Amino acid sequence: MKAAVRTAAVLLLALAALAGCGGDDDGGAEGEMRSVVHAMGTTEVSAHPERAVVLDTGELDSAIALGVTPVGAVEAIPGEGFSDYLADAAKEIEIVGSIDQPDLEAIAALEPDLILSSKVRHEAIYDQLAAIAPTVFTEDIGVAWKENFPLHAEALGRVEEGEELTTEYEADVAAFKADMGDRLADTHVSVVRSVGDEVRVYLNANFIGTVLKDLGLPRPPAQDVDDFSLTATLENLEDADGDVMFLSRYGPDHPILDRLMGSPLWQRLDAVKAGRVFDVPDDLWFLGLGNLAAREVIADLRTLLIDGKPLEEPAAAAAE
Amino acid sequence: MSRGAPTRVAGGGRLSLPVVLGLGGAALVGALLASIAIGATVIPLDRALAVLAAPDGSREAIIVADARLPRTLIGATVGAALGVAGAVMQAVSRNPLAEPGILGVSWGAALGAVGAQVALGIGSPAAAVGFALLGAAGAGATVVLIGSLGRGGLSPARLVVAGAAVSTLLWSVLQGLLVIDHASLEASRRWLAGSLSGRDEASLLQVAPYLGAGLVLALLLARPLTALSLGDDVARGLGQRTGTVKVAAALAVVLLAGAAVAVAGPIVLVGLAVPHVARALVGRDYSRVLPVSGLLGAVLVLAADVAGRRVMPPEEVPVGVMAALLGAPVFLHAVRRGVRPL
Repeated sequence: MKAAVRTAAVLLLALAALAGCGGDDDGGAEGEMRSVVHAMGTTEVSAHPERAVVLDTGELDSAIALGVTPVGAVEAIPGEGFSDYLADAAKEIEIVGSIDQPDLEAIAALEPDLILSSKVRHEAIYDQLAAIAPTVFTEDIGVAWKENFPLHAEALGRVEEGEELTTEYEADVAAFKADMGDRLADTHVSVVRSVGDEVRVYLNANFIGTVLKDLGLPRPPAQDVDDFSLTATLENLEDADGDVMFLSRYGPDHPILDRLMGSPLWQRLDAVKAGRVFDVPDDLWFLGLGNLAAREVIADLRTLLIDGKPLEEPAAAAAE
Repeated sequence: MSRGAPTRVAGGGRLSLPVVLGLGGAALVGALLASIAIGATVIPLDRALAVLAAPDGSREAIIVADARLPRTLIGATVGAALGVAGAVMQAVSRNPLAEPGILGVSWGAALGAVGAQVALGIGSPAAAVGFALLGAAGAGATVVLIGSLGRGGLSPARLVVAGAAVSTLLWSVLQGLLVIDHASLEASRRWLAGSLSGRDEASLLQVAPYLGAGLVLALLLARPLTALSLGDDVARGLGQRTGTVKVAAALAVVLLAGAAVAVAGPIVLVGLAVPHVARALVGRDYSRVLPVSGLLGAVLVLAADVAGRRVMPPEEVPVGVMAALLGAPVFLHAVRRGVRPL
């Protein structure tokens, strides 16, 4: 496998070199290069990459937000395709493995001119990726999405678009705060996500935590902690409480969540008593990890907290 | 717990059975009480017992009744099952390293349960008890078969090597299944580390018949096992039909280990450590070793589970990890003494 990948990479490099020697470059795509400084060093990237491959949900979100449809991307869950919220934009993207196991041969076969990912995900295969195409890594994912976005924009040659989108996000934030008014300060937001046989209470140091902080929505004291998440059991169920609880389900089966929700202790949570437990789409709130998802999350919060309406069920979730 | 294993070949241990059962019983009561009172929230013991006896609808009462009591009962039962299963395996194989984890039986059960989960879409491995039993039986039979191949037949060292090989194979297949089926991976991550978290009465009732049958069968086999542990020749000389005893013993092990894995995931080294301590305390008569192993197994798993709850609350360290930590010194001791017939 490794040898095959290496061979493919070498062949591609040889082809690229031959094409370079040919001299008759078709346009500026290969000609203009610029240096991008990133988590793994400095990389020469084409001024306007046209064949980007992205190896995580955050990078996919960024690219589509910036108006670049990657030629290849990985799935978060093997076999599940891309997040619903990306909809049509993701239809033409080729699947090149999963986040856990990117398919290097498939990536090489796409002849990308840029690969985007992060150290925390794919540091181990950086050299192999860099042999296929210029590869730009951020340090972290999720919690760092706002710092990552300008780097994604720079790598994709869309700095101005990136700045505009960041401004739009900030405008959405400001509008939400203004419309929430006095209610903002006393809406303590709890975020709970069921992942298989674990129920997690999300704290500050993750994507959704940063969005809630930006919006000025306070967290319950147990959740206002600079850590990723804590595990909820019957023993500490009150840590999952808030004035309002946003509840998300990742995957098909939720034995522990079902059990917690069946307990009398669940019925005693303030959010449950107030009828303020809202199911939210997992792909936006926990998988998207980018500008596009963040603004959709704000739209969801606006619908639920300001308009007081239920979220529209996406077709796929309704079908389950 | 033990002050070093005795080197005497037969006869009683250092302590009389009533003393050991008395001390073991006291330790079990202590572990049961600790498991009821200690968790992410520590509830004072008198309060915990009061709300257990007379539920008052308080938060403590619900936590004790719905979370800690079922979990405690499962921990005690699983521990007893693993201790007895290990003792039976060590008696039959005359192998100091025999136990469900090392000889692949637990991994067979785990693969059976996860396989059913992946193939049939059963929500959690704990729901697939029947498949866990089948997997345990298949793995056990395979290990014995592979260990018996070649000249010289089934030696203790061969059995352990065959167990390691089959365990590794089963583990690889298990990992392969979970790589393909992401949802099953998420649904069994904690279970695979050996966990009692989130179990309820229903989980216990699902496996109780198998565990009960396995325990009764094992205890009925106590006398033949004592003879068998002295060697096939001795057992035959005493007029025993060794084949029948071995099949019955294998059935007991499959019931005990398979059901234990189904409800709590693969918890290793309990089955290895506990019989060593039991023999050190009461000698080699299995009508003593088996009940003492059951008792100590229950104490060990409960102690491991309680410790796991307090290492970094509110997060829990899975009981399988804690039990392996507690069992490891005995494992090392057994290895240091060498893999030779008991």
